[in-house]
Amino acid sequence: MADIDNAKSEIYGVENTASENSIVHKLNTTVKLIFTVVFVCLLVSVPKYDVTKSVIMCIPVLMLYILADISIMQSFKRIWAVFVFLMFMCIGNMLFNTGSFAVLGGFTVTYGMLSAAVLLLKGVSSVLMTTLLIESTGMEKLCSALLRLHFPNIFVTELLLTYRYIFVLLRETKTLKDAYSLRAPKDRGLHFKVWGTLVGQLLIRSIDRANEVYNSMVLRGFSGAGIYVCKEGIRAADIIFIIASTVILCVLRFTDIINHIGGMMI
Amino acid sequence: MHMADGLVSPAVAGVMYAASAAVCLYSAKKVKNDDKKIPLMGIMGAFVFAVQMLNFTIPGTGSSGHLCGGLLLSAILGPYAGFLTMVSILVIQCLLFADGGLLALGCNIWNMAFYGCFIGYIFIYKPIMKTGMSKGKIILASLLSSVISLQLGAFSVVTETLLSGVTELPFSIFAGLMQPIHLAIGIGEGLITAAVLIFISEARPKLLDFEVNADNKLSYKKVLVILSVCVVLFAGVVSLFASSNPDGLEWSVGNVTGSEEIERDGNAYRTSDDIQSKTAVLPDYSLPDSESAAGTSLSGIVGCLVVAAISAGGMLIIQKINKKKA
Repeated sequence: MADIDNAKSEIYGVENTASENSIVHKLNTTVKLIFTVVFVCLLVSVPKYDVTKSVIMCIPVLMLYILADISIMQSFKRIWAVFVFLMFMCIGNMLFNTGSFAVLGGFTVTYGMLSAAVLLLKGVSSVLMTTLLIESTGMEKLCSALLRLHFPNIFVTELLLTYRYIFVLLRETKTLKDAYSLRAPKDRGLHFKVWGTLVGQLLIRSIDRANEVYNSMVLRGFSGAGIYVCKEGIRAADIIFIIASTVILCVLRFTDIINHIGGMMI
Repeated sequence: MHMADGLVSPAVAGVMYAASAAVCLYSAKKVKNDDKKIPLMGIMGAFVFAVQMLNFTIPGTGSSGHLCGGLLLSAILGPYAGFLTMVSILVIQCLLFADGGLLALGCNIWNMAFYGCFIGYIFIYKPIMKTGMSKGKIILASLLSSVISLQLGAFSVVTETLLSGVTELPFSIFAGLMQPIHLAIGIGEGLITAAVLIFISEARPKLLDFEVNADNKLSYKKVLVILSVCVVLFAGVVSLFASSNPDGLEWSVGNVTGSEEIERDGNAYRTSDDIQSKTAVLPDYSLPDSESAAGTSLSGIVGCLVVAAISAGGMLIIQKINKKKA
């Protein structure tokens, strides 16, 4: 995972992007969540050698990024971590499946190369779509949608609290890390002799803070129920979007539309 | 260990979502009546998230590791609240940092939260701590729980990826790469967790006593119910997506002999085939004279139940023999 400064700026970045006002931002959160799940399910169901279908399934991602007015390159930079494990699997596929699929100008295209390309396209597209969901929605609206979908109240409340306190805890951890770095500038990480004391101190301070938070929440009337719900109605546009997008996704996934269009052109 | 969406098929992802959701709902039910824990869970989640950004120098290796936090959360919050907190951390990592896919979230919850919070804490950490805490016990419990949880998690990643059919890596090579790497990570994680828990046991011992002495018993009945649900889901649903291609042995035999099965002749073989055809309830993993999917699912479930019954029966016999000896 990224370092503390990067993590903080990424969270702030997501908060800023989520407050924009594009067509995608205006869509109902529950509708966006369902659409994302449908898209990812259809995407990962693409057969492992079907490069054409994997490329076609990237089209909705590109279209939605354009409609949301969010930089796809910026999101692309944030997801580099996904590549590490995916590349490991891709290299494995290329090494272990050397069966020849086609020979193009003396260069043999193997089945391993095809499955590696499909794996990479699937991985990147699905992560980009998930990133778009949060970048066009924000965490609080997403938590409200989870409540409407009857996720356990305690889980949603806890998720939202964790998200809110990440900012505070990241700041404290940064202070602690900077103080340590100034005292031990040559150390690459925390020396094992201070693991317990440094992290333990932070933990105890966090627990004390949690007790203060609980007391103030009780004083404000907290009784274990949902603490915050963004009210969002479903408009006709939302219903049209989910129906139309599902139909389009199914057409892209289950029909040979590219060949049909190509055939009409020729 | 975070799995991306491209690495899982919808069938495997669905089964793992169902299994993780069941544990999540059960944990939410267990924590429901404890309002005071909710802010603590939120803060602890943020704490683990923030501490994951710190690098810990592993002595003698020149490398560094970081904390995953499942065992630490369970030791302070208990397994159910700890599990829910780990789930929220994984959700935030998935959504905000693209660490793990949305469809693979069920797999990631199972691999990283379930094993650490339930297997590591309930079956290893808690029994060791039951008779009282000491530095040695904390180190032993933390190391064992972290190593075993991570080994189980890494093995699950291998199994889920292979069942999804997205990789060409052979099982032995994939597992051979994943398990040793996660053994080293597990040792690092265990040492960091032990250091923090030792500090807390000296500075605020009540924080740890509270959970070890709490009545969080997971009865054999509950474990059996959870495992049965998993068995039915895996055997009944995933078996439908099993490849119709020959397995490794059939493929090898096919390459050598030209046929996937070796032709056999002789009285002994005929008698054996005759007995097998009469006793097999679900020949070729389907109902007799039927190619239906229900037969494939049923054979998966029946197979698992038979294996479970034989294993449990064997254990009961061994237990009785041991009791008689004592």
